[in-house]
Amino acid sequence: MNNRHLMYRILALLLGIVLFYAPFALFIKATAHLLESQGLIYVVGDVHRACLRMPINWAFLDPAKLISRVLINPLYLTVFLLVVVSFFLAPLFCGWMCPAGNIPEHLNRFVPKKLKLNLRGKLDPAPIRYGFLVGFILSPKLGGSIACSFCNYSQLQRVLSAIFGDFHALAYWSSTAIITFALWFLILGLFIDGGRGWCNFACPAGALQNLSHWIGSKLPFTFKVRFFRQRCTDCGKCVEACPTWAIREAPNSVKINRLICNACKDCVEVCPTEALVYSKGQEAE
Amino acid sequence: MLSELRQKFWGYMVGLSMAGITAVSSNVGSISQRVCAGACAGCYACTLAALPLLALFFKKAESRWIRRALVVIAVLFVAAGVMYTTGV
Repeated sequence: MNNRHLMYRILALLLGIVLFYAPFALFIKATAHLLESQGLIYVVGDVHRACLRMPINWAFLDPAKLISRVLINPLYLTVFLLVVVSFFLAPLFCGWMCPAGNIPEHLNRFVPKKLKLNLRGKLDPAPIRYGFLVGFILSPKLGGSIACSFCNYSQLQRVLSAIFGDFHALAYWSSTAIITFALWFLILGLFIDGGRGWCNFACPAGALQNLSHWIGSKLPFTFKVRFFRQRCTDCGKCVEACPTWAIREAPNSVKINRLICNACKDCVEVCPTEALVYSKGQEAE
Repeated sequence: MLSELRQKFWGYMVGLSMAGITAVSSNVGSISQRVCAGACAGCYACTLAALPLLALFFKKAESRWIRRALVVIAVLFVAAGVMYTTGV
């Protein structure tokens, strides 16, 4: 892969950490500072102030609660902002900035291929992801919402806090949190082909963004990874390069699964004939 | 086409099961009070019971690494169950 492209992606990841994760959390602190001037008080500057998980539950099951919570903490709207961005520009947050997806993906490059689970082409992750989203939305009605300790995005905050000296963050770790870390960060993160097990199989915020992208990609004025059939030489490099297994080979063509593609543009970078391009227009030409 | 539909169906089922397992595990205390009348020990046996479903699904991949991963996951769940029930 192009070194410059990889460098840009790592810079975007660092920006994601600096904007959302403690001890920096600049987006959260800056927004909170603006809101404090209006009499709103915030205690913690970390990912939990802009939770991507609970607002999804509230939006589907209890819109009145969402409105009341948003009035207290408007940062809950972050996830919906990401959904709108995904509609027009594809899920760039997932592909470039989200630490929960990008840290395992980049660390995964250092793991020898023979040690990785390889499900690429053997398993379509989209149904599992959206099955999980449906279960995630319904679970509060059926018994109780899925706890923070199962959220990889939230767990990473605790790890980063500990790395930056706040060891108290790890005191929260329970048996369920250890499962989350071992399952999503290690086994289905570092040791799975592409390193995106959490994104592929579970992340509800990512699933919503991709759903928005899937709808938006049908329209000619939205940005997406587009495929130019005549330029394709069937080399298969894009299929191998995609960390989310979103590209599949088809006869004289490739298929891009918009429900999984996170617009990281690795495929665009490796394509020798520019058959894949990130721009606005029709999905394929 | 039929096998593709079947794979999608099982995919949704696996996803739903995953959500169900995590929701149950998230609320073992309150669910045991409300539904199981205190019968739930929080031992993750339900999670283990769901693993064969995952194994069935992944069997198509026929990779020894997947089978090994499932064993690792099962061991982790058992370890977590022991930690949970012993209050670690």
